[in-house]
Amino acid sequence: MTSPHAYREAAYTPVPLSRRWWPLAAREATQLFRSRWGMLLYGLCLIPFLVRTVILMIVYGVLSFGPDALRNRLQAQPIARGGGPGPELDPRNLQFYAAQAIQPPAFVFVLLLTSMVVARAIARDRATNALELYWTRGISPAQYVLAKWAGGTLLVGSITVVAPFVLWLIAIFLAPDWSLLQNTAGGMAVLLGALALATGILTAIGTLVSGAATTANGAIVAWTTIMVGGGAIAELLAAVLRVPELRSWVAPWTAFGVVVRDIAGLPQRNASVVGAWCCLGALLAWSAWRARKRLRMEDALA
Amino acid sequence: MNAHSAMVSATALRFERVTKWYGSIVALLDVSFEVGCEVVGLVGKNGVGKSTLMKLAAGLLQPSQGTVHVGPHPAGTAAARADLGFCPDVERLYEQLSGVAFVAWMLRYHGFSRRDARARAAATLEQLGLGEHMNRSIREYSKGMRQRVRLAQALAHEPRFVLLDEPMTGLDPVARAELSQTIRSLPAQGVGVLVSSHVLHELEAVVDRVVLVHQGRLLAQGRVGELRAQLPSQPHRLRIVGPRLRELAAVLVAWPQVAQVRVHDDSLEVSVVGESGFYEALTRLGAAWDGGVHEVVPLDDDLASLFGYLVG
Repeated sequence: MTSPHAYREAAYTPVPLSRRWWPLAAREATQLFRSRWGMLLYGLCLIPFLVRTVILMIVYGVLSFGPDALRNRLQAQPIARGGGPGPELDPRNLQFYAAQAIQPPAFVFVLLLTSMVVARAIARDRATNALELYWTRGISPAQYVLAKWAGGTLLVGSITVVAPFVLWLIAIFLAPDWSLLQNTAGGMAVLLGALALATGILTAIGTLVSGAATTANGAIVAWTTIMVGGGAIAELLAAVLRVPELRSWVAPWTAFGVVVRDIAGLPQRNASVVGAWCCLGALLAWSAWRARKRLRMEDALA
Repeated sequence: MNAHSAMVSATALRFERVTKWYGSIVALLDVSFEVGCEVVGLVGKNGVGKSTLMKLAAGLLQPSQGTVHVGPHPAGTAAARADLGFCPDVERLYEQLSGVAFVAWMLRYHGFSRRDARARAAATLEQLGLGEHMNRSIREYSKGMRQRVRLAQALAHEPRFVLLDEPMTGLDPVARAELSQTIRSLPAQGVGVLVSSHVLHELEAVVDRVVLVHQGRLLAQGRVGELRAQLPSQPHRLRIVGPRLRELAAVLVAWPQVAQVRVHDDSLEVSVVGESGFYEALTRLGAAWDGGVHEVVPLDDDLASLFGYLVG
C-alpha cells in the first residue's frame, strides 16, 4: 500500500531474536545434505557408528558374522573377567558408546566434518560478501556467530552425541533384558552431556577460527593445522620429553577425549585433565579474540 | 522549510552532516542529502565513499559524526532495518538453493513464517520476471537472473527504501536494460531507491537525481541537466552534421558564443560558452542554410561529462 506521500506505509512489528537466528542455524546444520558430496561425506562420518552397530548385533547374536574366534570373543561373558573383549568393544560398558566419538578413528571423521562445514561457515560468507545480507537483517555479528556455531554443533553433534545415543538405544532393544538400561542410563546421560559439551567447545573453536579467516580454504588450512599440527607436536613433545600427559596440553583432539572421559567418569591413562581444559580454553580464548577483531563490522565490511 | 517538505523530509532516507573516519583516514566529510520516493544515483569513482554511505544507511557502520535516518528511525535500529532493503554487491549467492528458496530464507529473518515467506518470495520473483525459473537452483542462473534474485531479496519484505550497490556490474546490455526498467518502476510502488555505480551511463537512464561524491565530500546533487546548467564557464560541446561543413565552420567561428570549432570528416564539433541566443541563432542559420542542418547533438549533457567537469 502506498501512503499519500507516495511512500509505502511502514508497518513494523518487532521480530524476536529466536525467529531471526534459527533459520541461519538450521540452514547451517542442513546445508551439507543439499549436495551429493555432502551426503557422501556425512555417510562416511557414520562409519564408526555403523561398525559399532554391527559389533552390537554380533554381541547380541542378531548377526552371525566374521570368524568364530572373533565372534566368540565378542560374545564372551562376563566381559570384565578376561577372555572377553576390552571395555571399548563391550556394549555393557559406557566406553563402547564413547569410543565411537572420541577414539583415534573418529578423529578422522570429525576432522573431515568440522573442516568442511564448521571451519568454512563464516569465512565463506565473508569471502562472498554475504555477511552484509545477514547484518542488515537485524542479526548482530555476535548473534551471527552464535547461529553458525549452533548449526555446526547440531551437525557435528549428530555424529558425536546423537549417534552414540542411537547406538545405546539399539543396544537396549537388542539386550536380552532391561539390565543394560538400568545399569547404564545414569552414566549414559552424563556421557551424552559430556559429549555435547566437548562438541560444543570444539565447534566453537572451529567457528571462531572460521570467523578470523579471510577465505574458506584459509579457514580449512588453519583448522586442520590446529587439529593435526597440534596432535603432531604433542606426540613429538611427549616422546622427546617422555611426558605422555603433554598430549592433553597440546593436542586439541586428545584434550577433547580427556574432557569427555573426565566428566563421564570413564577411566583414562596418561592424561592431564587440567591440561586438557587449559588446551581447549586457551584455543577458545585465542580464536575468540582473533574472531572478535576480524568480525567487527567496520573491519569485516571494509 | 514548509509543512509538506518537512513531512517528506521526515519520511525520507536522510544523511545529515555525516562524517566517517576509518582510523585516521577520512572516508566521508560533512555529507548531507536526502532520498525521497525517487531513484537517486550515488556517483563517484571507486573508493570515494559510495559504499560507506550505503553501509551507513544500512546500519552496518555508524557515522563518526552526524546522523543517518531511515524515515523517522535512526539507521541501524530494528525499525529502520525493517524499512530498508539492501542489495549488496555479493559475488555468490547460496548456489544450491533455488531462487525462491533463497529469497524465502532471507524473508524468514524478517519474522515471516515458512509458508508466508515462500508465498511472498514467489510473488516478488514473479513480479521481477523470474516466475518461470524460480524453482531452478541459483547455480544455473545467468548474471541477470542472479541480480534479480538479489533485488528480490531486498524488496520482498516490502521496504520503503532499497539500497542497490553496483547492481549493473557484469550484466549484458539486455539484462541491464531490463534491470533499469525494474528500478525505474520502484518509486511508483512507493519505494525510494539509492543506487550506486561508477559506470555513469548506466545510471543516467535510471535516476531522477544524482549525488556526486568525490574524495569523501559531496560535490553536487540534483538533476543532471540542472547541474550542467550551473556550470556556465564550462563550454558546451555540440556535434553538428550537415552539408558544406567547412563553410558552416567559418560562419560559426565568428559568433561570440562559439569558443572553438573542430572540423571532422562528417561533422563539426562546436564548443559554446554561454548559451544565450546561440540555439536561436543556430535554428535560424539551419533554416537558411542551403541543404539545412541535419543533426545537432549535445556531446556533454550527460552524467559522465558532468562528473568529468566537476572532478577534473
